[in-house]
Amino acid sequence: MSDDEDKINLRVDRLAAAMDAARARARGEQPAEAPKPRAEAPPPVSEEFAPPEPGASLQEAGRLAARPFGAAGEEPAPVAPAPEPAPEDVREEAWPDMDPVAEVAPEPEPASWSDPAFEPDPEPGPEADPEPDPDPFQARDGFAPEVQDGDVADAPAEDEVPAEPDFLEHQDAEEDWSEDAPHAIDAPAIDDDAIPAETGPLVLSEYHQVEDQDDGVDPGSAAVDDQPIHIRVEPPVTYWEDPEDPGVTLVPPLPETPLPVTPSILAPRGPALLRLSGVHTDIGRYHILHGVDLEVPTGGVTMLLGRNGAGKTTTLRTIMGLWRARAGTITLGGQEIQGQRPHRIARAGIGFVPEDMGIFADLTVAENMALAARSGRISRDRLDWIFRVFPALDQFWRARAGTLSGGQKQMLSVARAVIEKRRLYLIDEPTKGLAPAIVTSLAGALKDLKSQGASILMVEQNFAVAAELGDTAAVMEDGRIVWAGEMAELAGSPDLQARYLGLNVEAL
Amino acid sequence: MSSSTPDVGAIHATTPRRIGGRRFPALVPLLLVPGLVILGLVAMALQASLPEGAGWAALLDPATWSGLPMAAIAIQPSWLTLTVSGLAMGMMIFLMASGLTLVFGLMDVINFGHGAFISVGAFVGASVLFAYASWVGAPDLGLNLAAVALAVLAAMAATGAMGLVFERVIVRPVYGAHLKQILVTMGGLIIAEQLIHVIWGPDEIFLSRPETLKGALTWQGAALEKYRLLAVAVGLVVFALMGLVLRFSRIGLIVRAGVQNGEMVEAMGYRLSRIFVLVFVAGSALAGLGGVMWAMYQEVVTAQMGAELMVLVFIVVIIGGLGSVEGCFIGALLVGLTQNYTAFLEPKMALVSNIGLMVLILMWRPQGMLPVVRAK
Repeated sequence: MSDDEDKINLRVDRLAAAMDAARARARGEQPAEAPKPRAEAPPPVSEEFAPPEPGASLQEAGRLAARPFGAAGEEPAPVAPAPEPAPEDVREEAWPDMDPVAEVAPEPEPASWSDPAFEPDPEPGPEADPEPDPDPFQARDGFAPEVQDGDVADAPAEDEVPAEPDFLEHQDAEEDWSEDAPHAIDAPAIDDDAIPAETGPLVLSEYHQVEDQDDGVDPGSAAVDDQPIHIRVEPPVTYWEDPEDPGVTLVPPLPETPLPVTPSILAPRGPALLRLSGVHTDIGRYHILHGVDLEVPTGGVTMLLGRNGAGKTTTLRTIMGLWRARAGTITLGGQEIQGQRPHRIARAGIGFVPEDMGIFADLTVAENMALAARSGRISRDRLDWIFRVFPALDQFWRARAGTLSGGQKQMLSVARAVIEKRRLYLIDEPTKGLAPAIVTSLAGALKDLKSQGASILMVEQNFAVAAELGDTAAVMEDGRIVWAGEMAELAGSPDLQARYLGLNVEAL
Repeated sequence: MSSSTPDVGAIHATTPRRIGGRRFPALVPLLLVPGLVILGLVAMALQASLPEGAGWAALLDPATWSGLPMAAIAIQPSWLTLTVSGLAMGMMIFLMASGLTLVFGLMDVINFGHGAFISVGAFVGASVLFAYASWVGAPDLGLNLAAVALAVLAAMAATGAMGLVFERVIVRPVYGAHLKQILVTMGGLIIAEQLIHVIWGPDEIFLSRPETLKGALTWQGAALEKYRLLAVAVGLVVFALMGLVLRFSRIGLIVRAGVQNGEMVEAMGYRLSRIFVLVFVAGSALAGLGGVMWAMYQEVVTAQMGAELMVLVFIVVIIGGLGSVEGCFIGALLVGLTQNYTAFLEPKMALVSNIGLMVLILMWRPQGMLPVVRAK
């Protein structure tokens, strides 16, 4: 019996346990060990679905809205939301009278984040904040003040709340957490027993026709500490089965609200180069991205991680314009690029390595590269560098690209993207299916690229590579970002990995 | 192609190249044309050496085979005539089909309206030839060729402009929807045919070839029609030009890449829709050229000729491999030769010979001989 087999058995056991739990929930039973997140950062999915009590829903919503700023309200931020009904339970209730089509209708109300008025003030107080960042984990590269405020800017309804006092409060709160667990700013002290990681990926299969309970509550405003706070009450959340194929459950249309992003969830290094906020993407009838909020800092590698089907590739393709975002904004260096054609986005300065490598098999390596150099000329220095990091391309310069091996094709694909300097490189799973030696050389090349100051957003399933290359990381699940922060933090925390990536430590 | 690329190539000229391997099978279709030519000779000789009324059993008779070389020499003039005729027909079909294959490969557009360009090109060319009847009738090669050149240019300009309108009005609204493309482009074809009736009247138009292009040369005892030789020459020149443009120009590079993976070309920052319009217009103009050539070949022009030729054109595009100009060229020659040989050997089989050829080739290579477009 080898270690591998042990691991496989372990995973099979965990899967079986998770499926049992799912079946139990489907029968309406309370799972034996209901997930009761004690920590501040529960999976945002559950927050979004946390059913407000009819009477308390306003306050609940107010708490949610205010939380990113440290909650000047009656509840301090780090306290968990009322956990009694496990989030998944809501989804079990049948709601027969629902009209699926009506629910798909986008943008039922003016959302603060998509409001044009939201844009002119994306970073409200970076200059106004004279205080040095007290947090050692964020004070990197001298970017700390912008970092903090950039974060705040991404939280919903920020224009309604005075930034300064909340910001300070938020600082306090964060310091508290740091004391608690110095390496887990974003998701401090997760109780392993309380949150079984296995239940996460199965949530999607549990959808039936259900409606959230806060239907009928008027959107309105409330006051927290005499500060008026506009409250968005979500439209009824429904889940439905595909009428033509009852076995297949569609991803439900979700309210177009940004997640209640915790302030430290986005911890970029420099000013954000690429910023996605509330991006929703449909592929055909399927709603794949459910409001992605992501920042890619200038300089360094941002790793986009997550399980298969979480929406990583769709995110990259949406950035590239190959899928059109239904809602949300994507900005590159402050300019909105969503809705533009792919060639415009490429010309805005993005180099793209698609998941399938996108090699032109009938063209030679030289022709592939010549095409990638949009200016029409290949810089000798750049080419020399490429030949140095990818010697195979030198060797097969005149060969048809279709005759290259898989690793060489991947090298060619990366080389094409970097043949000219771009502001941002999107690289989708460069190490997929490659031999370890080739992975090493590819990772070395990307490291080299990074050391030249390039900004990279990279999807990677090989966690070892991701941990080595990444500076910041974002984890996707079910079409949204559920965790974002420093890569080192994720790499150093088996808890986070187990929770968000389904990794177990031995497997590393 | 980038101007600095050759320099780079010079630096690395000593690096090993990968030869053989997957490249060899790609060459096999190139051998099909000479193979078919030889097969045609053998079949014709065999038919000549078989005694009258002999059944298939005669094939087993050694006497039949021993007489084959003699029969081959005897039949050679007819074979030569048929071969040139088949090549000429193939070249003209290639002119019509090359645009269609690129249009399909580049943007996944099935254009059943392509036949309209053939018809319109033929009518425009015929009108020009009538207008310059004195040049056409003069026994002077220069004037004759000038008239032909004018007809060709007018036809190509007209069909190119028509292609521009066709792409914008008919094709663009139905990108990505194959069924709609078939229906709408079919509708476009019908409209174009009726417009021809409106402009040129409902009757077929007879025209005569320029004076010096009538008749035939005699070579090795075989009568080779001058016009067919001209058609072969024009086809070869156009094929060579297309090859040069596709191989050595930047637009050609983008087109070749776009046929393989258009999405990636867009993601590299090239506006493929622009390139596509260009290819569509060029393909339409080439169809117009093919139409004029065909009109002078048949010496009659009808509004339906385009739609009739489209059957052959689609066969050529399919057996050549979608998106491949080389495959289209080889396929067109095969179709032309097969049709001519079969018409000689077994006239009743001529109608099905091309379908039979398509079936055989698709059994061998289901995606066509030189597929460029990945299966979708």
